[in-house]
Amino acid sequence: MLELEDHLARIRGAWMAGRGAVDHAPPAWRDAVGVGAGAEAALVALAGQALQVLFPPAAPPLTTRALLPVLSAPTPPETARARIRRLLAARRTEEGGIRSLVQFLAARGYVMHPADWLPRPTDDWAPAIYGPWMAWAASETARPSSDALTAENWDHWPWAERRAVLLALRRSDPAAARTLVAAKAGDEPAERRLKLLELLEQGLSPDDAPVLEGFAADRSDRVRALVRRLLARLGRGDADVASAQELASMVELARVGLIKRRNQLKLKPLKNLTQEARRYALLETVTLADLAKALGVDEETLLETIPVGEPRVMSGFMAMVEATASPGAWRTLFDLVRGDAGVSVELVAILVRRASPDERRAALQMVLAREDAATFQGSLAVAGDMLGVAGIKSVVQSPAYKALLALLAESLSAESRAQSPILAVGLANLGLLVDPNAAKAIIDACVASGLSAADPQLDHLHLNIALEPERPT
Amino acid sequence: MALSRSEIEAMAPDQSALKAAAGLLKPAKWSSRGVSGGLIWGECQGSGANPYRVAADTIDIGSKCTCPSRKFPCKHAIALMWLHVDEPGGFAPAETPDWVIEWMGRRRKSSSGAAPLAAKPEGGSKSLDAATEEVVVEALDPAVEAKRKAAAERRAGDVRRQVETGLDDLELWISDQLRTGLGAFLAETADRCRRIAARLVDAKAGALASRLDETPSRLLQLPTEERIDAAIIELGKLTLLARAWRAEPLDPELRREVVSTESREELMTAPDAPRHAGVWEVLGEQIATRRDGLVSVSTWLLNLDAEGPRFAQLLDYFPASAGRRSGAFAAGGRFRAELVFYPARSPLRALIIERSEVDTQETRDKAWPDPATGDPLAPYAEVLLAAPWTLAAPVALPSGRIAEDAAGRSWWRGETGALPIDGATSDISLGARLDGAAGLWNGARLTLLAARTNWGRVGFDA
Repeated sequence: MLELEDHLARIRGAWMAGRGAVDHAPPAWRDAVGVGAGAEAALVALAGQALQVLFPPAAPPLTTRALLPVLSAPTPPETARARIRRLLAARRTEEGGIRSLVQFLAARGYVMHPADWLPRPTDDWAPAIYGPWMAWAASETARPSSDALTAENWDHWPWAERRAVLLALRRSDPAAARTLVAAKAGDEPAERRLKLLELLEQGLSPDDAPVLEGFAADRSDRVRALVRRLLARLGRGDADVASAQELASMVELARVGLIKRRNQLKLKPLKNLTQEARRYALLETVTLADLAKALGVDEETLLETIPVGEPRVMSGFMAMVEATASPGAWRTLFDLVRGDAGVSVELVAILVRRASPDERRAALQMVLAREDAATFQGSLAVAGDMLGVAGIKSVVQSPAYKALLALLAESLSAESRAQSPILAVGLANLGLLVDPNAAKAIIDACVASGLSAADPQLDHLHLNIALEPERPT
Repeated sequence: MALSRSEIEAMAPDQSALKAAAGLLKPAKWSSRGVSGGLIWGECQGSGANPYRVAADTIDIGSKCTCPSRKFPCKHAIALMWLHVDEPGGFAPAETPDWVIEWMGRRRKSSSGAAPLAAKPEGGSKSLDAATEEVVVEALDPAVEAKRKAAAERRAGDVRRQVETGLDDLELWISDQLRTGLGAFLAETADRCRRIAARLVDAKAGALASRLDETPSRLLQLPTEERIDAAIIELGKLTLLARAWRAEPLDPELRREVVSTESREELMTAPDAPRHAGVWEVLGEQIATRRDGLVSVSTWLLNLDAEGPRFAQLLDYFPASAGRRSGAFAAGGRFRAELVFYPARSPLRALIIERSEVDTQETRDKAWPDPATGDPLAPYAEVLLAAPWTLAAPVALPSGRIAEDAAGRSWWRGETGALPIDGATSDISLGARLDGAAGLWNGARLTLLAARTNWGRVGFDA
């Protein structure tokens, strides 16, 4: 006697081929459907019900992912999540848009709710607290042991957490971190080698030079470029004399000042775009020390005054200093640009990448007060991950804030027909930069100007107030 | 610019819009009326299953409503502004809801009411006072009424006969598909289904025709190896539906499945339409564009009380040309409401009669009811036993996890078994422990709507 499943298989086969199937039905079904016109239709009703109720899809072998680990910081209050989701949706379309929002939450002591945002394994920029989620997203089976990171248990640590632990170790015990990088970085793929060697930038010292020199001939271009930059900061590495001399021929070292004569590097416009492009390329590869040598001075003598030039070439030069200057030379130029209100905030933002947290905080207050772009983009770049801390005093002093309020008034005027993207970006960036009291003051000022308190342009500022700094208990 | 009666008259598209708005001035028509700054908002129960969300800016005048009306502003927006001008105290000061903020973000000043207002002639023939005048309805002549009723019955009889002929053709068509082979049917399913659907339209079986129109997309979205069984199941359901209708052509559920859905007014006066008042959670929303150019919007509700139907479906249709409609509810939102269900063997589709107590502490504190122990698909089998033509039914699933097969397809896995999930799932659902879940099971795939997890509520609607 056939099982029902066998009957159904024969019925299915008959209908596939366009033959009658009643003869293949179980006896009880044959009695029910009868014969003649309509019997096949009756059988299809019975067969369909049986297939649907008695034979649901059979599961193949299934695997279940590990539960998403709970992080050490809380997720935002439920009342703030709708606003966060709205901001995430709006910022997803922007370059690096989500990054500053994630960093803002981290600065306030929160992590995103995983239903709203989860880092991808490649989101290396995510704050270290997300390490366990990045390991989970990468489906890494390794688990951190309770022991400290060592060369022996290196592979037991998921990548994101290994990197976070190593960074913490570099801060507390630079030599131990250096030893681990020297022992293990060579076994990692290029992308990870790069990230590991980047860790040495933290507290870089001459003791790191031998390790870096070990990777000077690395097969990865990006690793070699990084090693070259870091060795240059230490006054080591092979000089590219030809390139340095070519670059020196495209700049001018002049003496300026009536009473106190000092050197000043002038990056004057070149004759044509081809030459300009070549100079940009050289600024990316030549080190400050090599350029100084080609000009017959040392690094600090080269930077006795702030160099002058068009904004784009100045950005390239500042990036060269940030990447390759010795600590002393970088310090000289950083102090000069901090003290000169005429230097654009964007240039400060480039140099500040090497600053300590305290220096960055002080620089932020200073650049906020002199910010002149209503988008506050430069200030945001200076802030880095030091978000949500700026006070209102510096903000209201800035020309940018006055320009922002003027834009607001213009957008609310009867003649205006379009919302200003600069206004929206400026309010959003302020929402990320300032402390809760300042956020409230800015909202009050906008509402007093006629903007609805419910206007989504104020979303970042409202979120800022809703996310009071979370203090670990 | 502050709002006034004369401005409402000026911005109204015509006097009939004002007249229609006057009918919405009763506070009982509205729930959650609020005000913040120059913004007002409210939810108005219109003719759809979902209430319409209405918001207006009373300073920089403009309005938004989720109804499908092409008039701007629509009667709901006019009524909201009218209520605010006449009775501002009826609007409770409150924090601006997210949906109003989202409207503010999308709003462009050029499309606000301010510009058209200036361009339009003054109120002129449009008048709020005239809109509220009582219309004297003459008493109907009993003889005329009897004649009208007899004509309606005659028409209904004609429709029944036409439908019956159409269903004869459908059964013949089903036999033809079996006779010519299901392989050929699947190869030409779009053409074949479209032809019989057109025949059913002619036979006044519009609802059944729409179902057949959607059949090819339901079949073809399945993997090839599952299509034959899915075709057998679908043809079987159509046979059962046709035969059930012949047995009970006056049955309201069968009429809805075959001909058309009763109107809101008919439902409200139907003596056998079950009603249930309780606390409901919005599980999620499903939006689908149909071949006939309509967009169906299903809002799925979970009954948080122990009694009454476990689920309810609020179903509305909009023309696709009207653009994307904003949802009436936020997923996860909770409210107390009385629902009237369309009479059915397993009542599911419903309308809101009255809604109150939106998101109070009491509604927030309610837990999901425990799913029945044993086979989570048992309620689905019961639905099929009562109404075997049903395409999909909501199911409450016990605790489980989302698992993956070797091909990366997602499955819900509980102690009693595993069900394949339609489409991809979010990362969080793969890493969460599901304490309970709700979804739609169609016999082949599970469409998850929402789950309670160790990370709180997770929604799955697109």
